[in-house]
Amino acid sequence: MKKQKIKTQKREGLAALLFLLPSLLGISLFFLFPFVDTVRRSFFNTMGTGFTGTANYFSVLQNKSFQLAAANTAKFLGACIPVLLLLSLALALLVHSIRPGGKRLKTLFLLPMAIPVAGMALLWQILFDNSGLVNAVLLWLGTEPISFMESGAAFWVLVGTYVWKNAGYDMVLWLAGLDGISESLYEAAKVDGAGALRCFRYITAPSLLPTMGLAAVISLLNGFKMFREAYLVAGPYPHDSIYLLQHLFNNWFSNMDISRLCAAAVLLCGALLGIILLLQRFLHGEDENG
Amino acid sequence: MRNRKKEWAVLLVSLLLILSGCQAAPTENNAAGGLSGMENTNTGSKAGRYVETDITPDGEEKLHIVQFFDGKLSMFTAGLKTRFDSTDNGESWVKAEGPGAKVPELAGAYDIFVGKDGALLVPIMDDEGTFICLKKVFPDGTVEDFAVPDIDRLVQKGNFFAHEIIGLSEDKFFFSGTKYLASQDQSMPDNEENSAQAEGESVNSDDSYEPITAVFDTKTGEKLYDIPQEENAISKDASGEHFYFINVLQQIVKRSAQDGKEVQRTDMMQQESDSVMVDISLYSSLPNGTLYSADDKGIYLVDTSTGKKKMVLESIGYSLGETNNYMSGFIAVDNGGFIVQTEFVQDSHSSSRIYRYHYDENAKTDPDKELTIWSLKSNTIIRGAVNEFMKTHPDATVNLEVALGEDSAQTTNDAIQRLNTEILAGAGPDILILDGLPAESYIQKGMLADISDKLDFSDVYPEILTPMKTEDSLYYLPACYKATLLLSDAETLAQLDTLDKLVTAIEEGEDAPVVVIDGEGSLTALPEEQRPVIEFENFEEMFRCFWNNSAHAVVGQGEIQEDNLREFLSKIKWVSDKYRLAEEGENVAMIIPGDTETESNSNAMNYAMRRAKTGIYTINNLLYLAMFLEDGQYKLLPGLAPGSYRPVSMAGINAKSGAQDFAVEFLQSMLSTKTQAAVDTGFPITKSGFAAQLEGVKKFNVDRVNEEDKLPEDFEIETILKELRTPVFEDEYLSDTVYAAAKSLCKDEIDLDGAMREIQQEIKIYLAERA
Repeated sequence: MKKQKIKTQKREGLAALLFLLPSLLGISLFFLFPFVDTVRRSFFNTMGTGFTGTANYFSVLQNKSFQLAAANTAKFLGACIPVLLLLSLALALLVHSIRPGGKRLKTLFLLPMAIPVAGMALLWQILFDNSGLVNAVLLWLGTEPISFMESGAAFWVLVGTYVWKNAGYDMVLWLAGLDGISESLYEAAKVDGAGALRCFRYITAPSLLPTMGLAAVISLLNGFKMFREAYLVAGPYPHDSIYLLQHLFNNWFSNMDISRLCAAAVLLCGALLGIILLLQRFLHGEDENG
Repeated sequence: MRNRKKEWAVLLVSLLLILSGCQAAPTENNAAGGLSGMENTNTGSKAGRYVETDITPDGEEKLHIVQFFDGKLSMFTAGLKTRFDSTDNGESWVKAEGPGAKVPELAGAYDIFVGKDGALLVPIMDDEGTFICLKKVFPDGTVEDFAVPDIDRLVQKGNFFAHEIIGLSEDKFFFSGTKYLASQDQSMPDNEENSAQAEGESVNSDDSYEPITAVFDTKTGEKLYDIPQEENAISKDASGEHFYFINVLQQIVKRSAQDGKEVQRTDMMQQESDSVMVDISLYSSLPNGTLYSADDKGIYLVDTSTGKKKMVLESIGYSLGETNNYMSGFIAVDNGGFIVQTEFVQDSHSSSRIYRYHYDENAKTDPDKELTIWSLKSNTIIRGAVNEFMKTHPDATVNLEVALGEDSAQTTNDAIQRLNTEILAGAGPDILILDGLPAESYIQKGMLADISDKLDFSDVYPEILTPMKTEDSLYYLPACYKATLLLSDAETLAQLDTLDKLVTAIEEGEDAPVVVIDGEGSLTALPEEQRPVIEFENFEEMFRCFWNNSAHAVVGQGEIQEDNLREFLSKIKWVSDKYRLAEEGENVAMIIPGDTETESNSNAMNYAMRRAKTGIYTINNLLYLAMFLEDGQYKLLPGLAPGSYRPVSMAGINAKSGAQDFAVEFLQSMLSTKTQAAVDTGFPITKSGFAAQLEGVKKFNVDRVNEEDKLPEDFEIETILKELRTPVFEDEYLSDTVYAAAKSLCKDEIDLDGAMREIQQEIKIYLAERA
């Protein structure tokens, strides 16, 4: 009987491996091997002919454009991810409460994600150009027009666009989490006299912690995709406030500064990994405490 | 059930494989060239290729070539004095006396075509290019006037020009011409624009302007039917019952040969070619109706039913694609070959060359002799060098990849990133044309091979070569160089030896003359006391002139040199204010020969026209400089970075190329006298090239009767060479950024500190990335 069980487990393990193999191969081919090569290149010169040690890393860390891009990227992610998570959670709670009609609304909130990047860039220009719609409204209201793309306001335009674009998607993630919470918990709490706030504090929030981890990681990764919009609108050298790490990577690649680009990519990867691990640890801890 | 599932699974997997296979398969073009999405010009093929033979008779400069309806070919010299006949598709020729030897009236013959019974129909024009009449030359050599009443009526009125005369069949020919307004010389067909304008303004308004576009009878001269004015005849079809025409919308219109009624209309599609210059294409068809077209890019097979064109002969590597050659005659012959007549133009002098192209299945190309050259933009000098190279390496294959072709949708940045990816993957081109690329970065990163000891530089001016070296190593070779010169008399030049002195002289000199908007006033010479120091056409011209010789000092050692930037902006502002250049609509632009990309040389023209005391000229070629100079002198324009010069058409060898030696041979061909003599976007870098260009100026003078029309021949290139110190790579981002701020400053939209701040803000990250 035991032998049979082991045999079955082995067979299942083999089947699982076979199922996983294609994606593993794909990930290895398109992500893992290139990443290993990136790490290798970060210790060599551009042509890969001379070992440079950690010189590329020092050069990157001392580079002012890297410092600016890293600070801007951190600032951007730091500003928009909390806003996005809170806003999308609020939307999810709202949509969840007006069921069954909320299902239709859910689809509506996903529409910004369907807008192509080029369309988004065009929209930016129509709205935020010096002679765009927003400035026309400001002029009509009798206030001074703002040069959105050539001032610090560009940063907030980028944050706003990110939140607008991703709120629907994160809302769907929250909704999935909300659907997983048993109604009986709320009913029992209500019997015990708990109000809506207490229900949220003691039932909804703790139950949504795993969802928050997932939403945070996905939002973090989506944050890096905002480069496309910024690049299409403002080119490779935008206003200082929206000069992100991807701008620097893109420009370094054009300028064939591959060694530093690889070193910076490894640093970014390390930082992201650190953040995700911290997040996991925090959420895991919360989960355990909870 | 289980089996059914299996079948479905197998089917789905097969479909997936097929679909993925479809996606992964390279296109024909990509497979040949490597870099997908780029124009790929391929010379020769592995199995056989077209072989070119120059069949121009010795000593003949002006020729006409015709094909008889039985396939026989004839070449006629000027005035039809001598003829050369071929019955074997141009392989061999027999010389004979032409009909013009005894009939002097044939002196003005051009565009000869064949009529009924082998008789030649010869249009005659006078020295002014005005159409006079048609003559009929019979096979026995007798000549008689050929009356075409509808054309003769217009000729009688005078000022009649023929645009196109084509023999469509033995009994029909196409004629297109216009009788222009006699009083308006500008309405003459100098170019397409004038012609179109004249046509547009005249119809119905004045009976002295009369265009005629029609098909006539070759026997009686009677007009058979009219053709819409916007159409030009091409050829007849296989049956002979229809004629093909092409219109301005690039549509092939098939018409009944009998009555000219439209039968079919097909949009011409561009296939395997980036050429949009169909209007300059020449057409020729075989008796079986196969239609070919030819332009400077090559020869194409045209599918008249779909309008698709397929390239059969790529011009690069053949005389057909040479920079100074333009095609004037094209005949497709029976054996799949072609006869092409070109006019070789150099220094305002043209001479006909006739080439025969036949496909030789045994002509081998050596697979080891393949070279890929990558250029961001189309480059005529490099095309010329490829042609020169192919002459000495006929068994080689040269792929000239132009990233930003005419139909390319990608940006410069996309193109550079694609190239970088290819290079990093070890599949990059053998030779990089560095214009527009981050050349300094490529050199620093070791991507280019050191060529300092691989080429024979004995003919290259050391003054140009030495500053381009990095610690005795040389990583690129320019085909030519540009330097910005100040033109004036020796005394004035001696006084204006610094930028400060030049700007002070401008300040103290006369104001800019009032320019008459109709343009006529801008061509009138001014009395000496009224001439300003320089007359610029617009702000951009002024900025570019001064920037060229100051850029290196404004942004040097990877950072902005604040004092220099401030001084540069101040000087620009002074000059702009003095001449009111920043005011919109103040100046009238003129079309001046020169580099239209970045510099206009109109102020050099103003100097030559005696409207200014000095002129600035960014050298393009010696002949233009001679035209601007007359009896003046020249020296490098003073600037904040004196001695700056710009290497142009720079070629570097990919350090990872597997064809290093072969690539070196190509670079050597860039130094050949012929390539160097043909450069026209800078000065040649070799002594023999400069001497050849000087020879061109002398030849130009030979044709001039009046002494005052002759150009100076005593150029002392050493005057420029001894001043050259720093090769400067053009940086579009920097120059555009400084330009934008300088313009705002000169328009008083911002002050000097504001302009400085704006530039520093814009350039800060750009420079930091490169630090």
